Order: sequence, then C-alpha cells, then structure tokens
Amino acid sequence: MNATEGTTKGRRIAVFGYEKLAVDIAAYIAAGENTVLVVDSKEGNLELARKAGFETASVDYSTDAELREIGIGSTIDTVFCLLPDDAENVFLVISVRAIDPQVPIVSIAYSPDSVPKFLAAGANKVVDPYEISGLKIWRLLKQPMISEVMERTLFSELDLQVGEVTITRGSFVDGLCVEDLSLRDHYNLVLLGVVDRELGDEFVFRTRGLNHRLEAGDTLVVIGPATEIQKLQRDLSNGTRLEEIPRTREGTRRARQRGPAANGRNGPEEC
Amino acid sequence: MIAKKLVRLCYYLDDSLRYRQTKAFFRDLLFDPQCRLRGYFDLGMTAVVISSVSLLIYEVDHDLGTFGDLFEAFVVTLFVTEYLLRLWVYSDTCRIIIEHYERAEFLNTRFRLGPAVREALKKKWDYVTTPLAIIDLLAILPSFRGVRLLRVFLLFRLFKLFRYANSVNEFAKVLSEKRFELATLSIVAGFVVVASSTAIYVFESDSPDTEIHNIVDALYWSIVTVSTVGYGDIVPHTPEGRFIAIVLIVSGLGVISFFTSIVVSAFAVKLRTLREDRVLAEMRRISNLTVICGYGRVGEVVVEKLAADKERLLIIDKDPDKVDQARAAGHLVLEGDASSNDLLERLRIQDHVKTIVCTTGDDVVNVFITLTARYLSKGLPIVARANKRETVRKLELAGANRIVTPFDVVGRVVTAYVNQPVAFDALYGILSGNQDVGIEAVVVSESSLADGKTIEEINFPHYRLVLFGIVTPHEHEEAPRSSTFDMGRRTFYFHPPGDFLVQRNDILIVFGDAYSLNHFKDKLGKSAL
Repeated sequence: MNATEGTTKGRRIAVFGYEKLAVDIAAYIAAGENTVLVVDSKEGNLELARKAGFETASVDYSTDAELREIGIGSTIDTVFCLLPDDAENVFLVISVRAIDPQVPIVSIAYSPDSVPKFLAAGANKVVDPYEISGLKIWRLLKQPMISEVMERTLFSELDLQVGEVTITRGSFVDGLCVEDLSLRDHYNLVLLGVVDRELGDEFVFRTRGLNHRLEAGDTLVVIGPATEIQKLQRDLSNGTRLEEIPRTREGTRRARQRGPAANGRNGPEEC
Repeated sequence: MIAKKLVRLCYYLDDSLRYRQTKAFFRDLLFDPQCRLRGYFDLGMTAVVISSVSLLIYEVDHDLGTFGDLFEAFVVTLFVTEYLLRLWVYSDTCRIIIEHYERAEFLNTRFRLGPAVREALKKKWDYVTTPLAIIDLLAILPSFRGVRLLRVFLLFRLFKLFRYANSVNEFAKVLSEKRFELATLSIVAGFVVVASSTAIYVFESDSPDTEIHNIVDALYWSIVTVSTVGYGDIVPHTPEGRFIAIVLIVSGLGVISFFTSIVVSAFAVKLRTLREDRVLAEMRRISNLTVICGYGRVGEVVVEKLAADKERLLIIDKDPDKVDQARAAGHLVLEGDASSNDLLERLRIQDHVKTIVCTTGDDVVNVFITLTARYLSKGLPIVARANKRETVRKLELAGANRIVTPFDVVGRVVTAYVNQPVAFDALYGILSGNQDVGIEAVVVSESSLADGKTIEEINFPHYRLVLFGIVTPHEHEEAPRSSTFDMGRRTFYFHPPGDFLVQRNDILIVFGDAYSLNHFKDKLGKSAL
C-alpha cells in the first residue's frame, strides 16, 4: 500500500531489528516519504542497514536512557518492533510505551499466543506475518481469481489504494446515514466502511448494516485510484455540496428517477 | 515335430492380447500390493480360510455331513486354483521357449526342446520352493481326511493368512533384518540350554526321587526354566541341581530381555518406514491431493484453512515434533525430506497431486523442492514461499507458478499503518479474514438470475454486499477506461457503473460477511427471483 494522503508526510520512524523479515519490511517502510532509523544491537545487522542506505543507531533495548537518546518520546513518530524474538519485542513495546504513552507502536508476533501480550504491553497493532502469509497461500489455492485481482489492483505500485478520508463539518456527507451515502455517481470509489467516533475507534465494514448518522470526525475508508481519494478529501474539506460535484458516471438515470426510495429503505429518522 | 508345434503355440499365445491381458490381470491381483482389487481379494480369501479352519475344528467332534464335504471341496478347489494361478503368472514359459528358439535360429543351430523346458520348469520349481508356496500347498492337504497326521497341516491354512495380511509380512521382514542379532542370541541361548541340561542330567539323574530320567527330560526342564516359564513338573532335588537352576533362571532373564530388546529396536527403526508405507498406500487411493511441504507457522495456517474447506491434504515435514503435532491435529503426515527425489517419486505426484505448496522457512529447501517437483511433473502447479527478496527470481527459475513473499505482505500492511491507521484495519481485516468480512468471487452461470441484468438491477446493497469489481471476458464500452485492469484473457473492471451489464461467465468480486455471501450465492444460482 502506498502513501496516498499528503497529510502525514515526512514521519520519522524507528525500526527495531534488522534481520530476516525486517530487512525487506524496512525497505517498504522507507519507500514513502518517511525517514527510517534502523535500530539494532548487533553491529553486523547495522552494517547491512547502512549499506542499504538507512540511518542507524546501536542501542541496548533494555536501557530507557539509550531509547530516549535516539528520539523515543521526542522526535520518533512511529515505532516498529521487528526483532526476531517475541519476548524481546514485548519488552521493547513495554519500554517504549513507558517512555511515550502516545507514539503508535506496531509489532510483529511470531506466535499467535503472544498477540494478547503485545496488546497488553501497549502495542497499537500486532501483525502475525506467518498468519497473513499462510492466508495468502490459502487464497492463492482456493480463490485464485481474487488473489489475482488483489495482486493487480491493490498491491501493484500505481493503481488502486485503500485510503481513509476524514469527514469535516458541513461537508455533504455530514449528517447522512451510512446506508444512504452513495458515492458511486460522483466518485470512482468503493466505500468499504467507516470509523465512527461515537462507536469507538474500531473500523466497521459497511456490510454490517450499520445504521448510524455520519458526523464530522468520523472516517470513511474507501478503495479507488489515488486521485479519486484525494478529490473526495478535497471536496469534503472544502465543504463542496454534492450537487456541485460533476458526475463521473453515466447511465444511472433509473436510480435517480426512483429517487431516495430506491436506496433509502430505512428513512433518515431510523438512523 | 512336437517342438515345432509348441513353439508355434508359444508365439500364438505371446501375440494374443487377451492372453496377456488375462495374465497381467491375475499378476496384479495376486502379487501387486497396490492393485485396487487386491484389498477385496485378500479380505475374501481371509474369510474363506477362517471359515474353513473353523469348520475343520468343529468337525473334530461333530459330523457336518454333505454340507461340510461340499464346503471343503469348494475351499480346496479355490486353493488349488489360486495355487495354479500363482504358479502360472510367476514366470513366462512362452517367453523362455521363444527366446531359446530365437537364439537357436540366430546361431543357425537346431532348436532343442529339452533345455528350454528345463529352464521353464526350473523357474516354476523356484516358485514352488518359496516358503509361501509351500504353505499354500500344505494348506490343501488337510482335506485328505484319511490320514490323521495330515490334520496338522490345518495349521498351514492359518499360515496361509500371512499371504493376505501385509503387516505379518512386514513383521517377518523386520525380524529378518535382525538375523545377525537373533542368530547370536540363539547361539548363546542354545549353549546355555545344552550346558545346563547336561549338568542337571549329570547331577540329578542319580538322585532317588528325581523326575529326570534321561537327557530329553533334562533338555525339557532347561528350556522351561530358561524361558522363565517354570511349570514345576520337574524340579531339582540336589543342591548342585538347585545351583544350576539359579544360574539358568538368571541367564534366562538375560536371554528374554535381549530378545525383547532386539525385536523392539528393530521395530523402532522400522516404524517410520511402516508408517510411511501406510500413508503412501492411503494416499494412492486419494486423488486431487494438496501437498504441503513444511508444517511451520505458515504451513499450519494454510493447512488449517484448507482443512476447513475439506481439501485433501498431505503434510511433509522433516522435524519429528512437527510431524507429531500435525498427526495430533488429524492430518495425513509423512515424516521425511520433501526435497528428496525418492520421496516425491514414491508419492507419484504426477498422478495424485493437485498442487504442491512449499512453505518451509528455508529458501534453499523451498527452491530444491520446487526443482524436484517440477522435474517430476511438468504441469503441476507449485506455490512456493520466498523468505528473501533474492529468492523470488530463483523460485521462478526453478519452476514455481506462484510465489508468496511474507515480507511483501507484511511490508504492505505495516506501511499502510504509518499513513492510514484506519485503512490498515480494513486491509488487515480483509487479508486475515479476522473481521468476519470476506471477499469472494461469484461466477455468473448460464441460468443465473444475474445474467443479462445491470448492476443496479442486481442491487448489491440489498444483499448487504459491496461490489468491488467484475472480472469479465466480454468487452464493455460503458465502463470508464481508468478503472480497468488487464488480466490476460479477461479484464477486471473496478467499481463498474450502475448500467454495467452483467453477463454469463462474469465473475463478481464482492465484500461481505459469510452469511450475506452465501445467501447471495444461493440466490444467484436460482434462475428467477
């Protein structure tokens, strides 16, 4: 997934560990406009990281002072724990969380049993690399068509992206029901779901049948070309009204003739 | 003259397709352990043997009359037929005679029937003298009721069961591999028995109340004692005799434990092969197998998901712990090195296997398995895991069809989090399937109600589904160019407009939870709403 939004450019990210998987993941993280600091205690790994063009720091993870020195709690915006061992990663997560209660921490968990420990230690997201790889293989075997579509659209360098768009006050979606929200006439975007501030910060797929009124501060998650996502974000922050937006699609006349009854099975009052 | 006629007959039989087919059929049935009918044949023969033996035992005290005679006649006929069939298919007499004849023709010498027939008979004699053939022959004998001694051969009918039970053969094979140890043991045991029986005879035979009157009594006592059975019908009465008994009992314990340990260790070594053979035999009966090489974490996830889909799986792993773990989970497992030619060849991957998945954590092993599998089967789909970026190209060269790179998958997901933490949730949910939201490809069949309808008419929101796009072999003018993706012979239209006409053979890619997806697929299968 590429960086699409201009809002979060130039983050400073600390990647702990530069072994095995971490080597290639670091390259991914660095692909955006982010600056990556590779942190490791082994000189051999750091040497490799330097060769790959990364800024490096040699740190003993168990000492808070050394973690502070490299910018935890101050200049570092996101922390990735990619050490080759779950116990080390959990300890690192706790250490970082103790220094900085706010910084987002993403960790890798090699065993599914460790996931709750990571969450308890304060990690924001835990990724099980083996699980998603296994699922990917499963999908290749059982759903080859979907794998190919995902490969060619979501995971290729330039095409479709999953993006998030924050709703601003007074924009055309502010106050709409999730079910009534129709972007399809105006944008080449598929709405996947929303994050409703009132329902907690969990992402909810649209297919859950969520009957809730959208408000400023909620976030829409969409799939589509990067330019379309940017266009939607721009329209929302400018407070452009739906009628002013040119239609991108032809041939939806019938839907318009049928009016709101077609997709408004639940009246707005039910929201 | 006779020779000429015989040669002509041999040529005729050798040319006859039906003759050869019949012979091949019986050879497979009687000798090939992988023959499909073999199982039924063995089972049937076992039943016949057991019932005939039971009848013979019953007949010792009772009279069965004509039924018993008829059944016995049937059994004997069956046994004789089987014996003759085995004798027939064991060697090819026609070929031998023809070869002799052709050699004579080639050397321009006179063809002599004698040597040819002698060689053919020698071949048959070789068969007749094999232990199993002897058992077969002896098993026929008990039906000659006149001779009481022949009743003993009833036992051979039971021995005949060996033929039909593979595990007994394996047992014999295992023991024969330990010949040397067993021979040593029997020499030691024999020495102990002979020495002690001589000694006890010398000391005890003079004693007034002795039960040992001759050397045979002494031998009998020694064997009963050394085997730790000790009936007690013969007991030593002199102090010397008791001393010998003590020595014999102690050495008897040694002999027994030595024997046990030989058998156990032989089986411990053989157990793996035995198990492997069982798995292979089981596997040959299954087609469409998915082979997973490597039961690490990735392999485990793949296996778990595929097993839930009721796929037929075979797991191969080198690590005995992993093998036990997989076996405990109820899967078909082979312990072994998947990169070995031998193992994959014995699996006959070209016939039974649908896909091979290499999920080991070692790229070298993955490449090697891929190479081996590709060498054995040109068209077999191979999915391989590359743990390093450099390996991707090597796996492609080795012949892998699809390559999965954990670092790529994780890298993408993790990077998404940096910039878009919410999108990360969505993506991770879709990728991991943890959010109960699935993505599914629904094929529009010929009689489907979606055929010929527009997207708007299908009304995806009604089914609580989100249409992601459509893969179609057809041309569509109405969709904007910007959102199409070339997929070889098909095109993927992302987010097609409402008037997009869905046609047969289109594939709808939709998001939704499992219930909605199933409901939708059900509905789509029906020809009218």
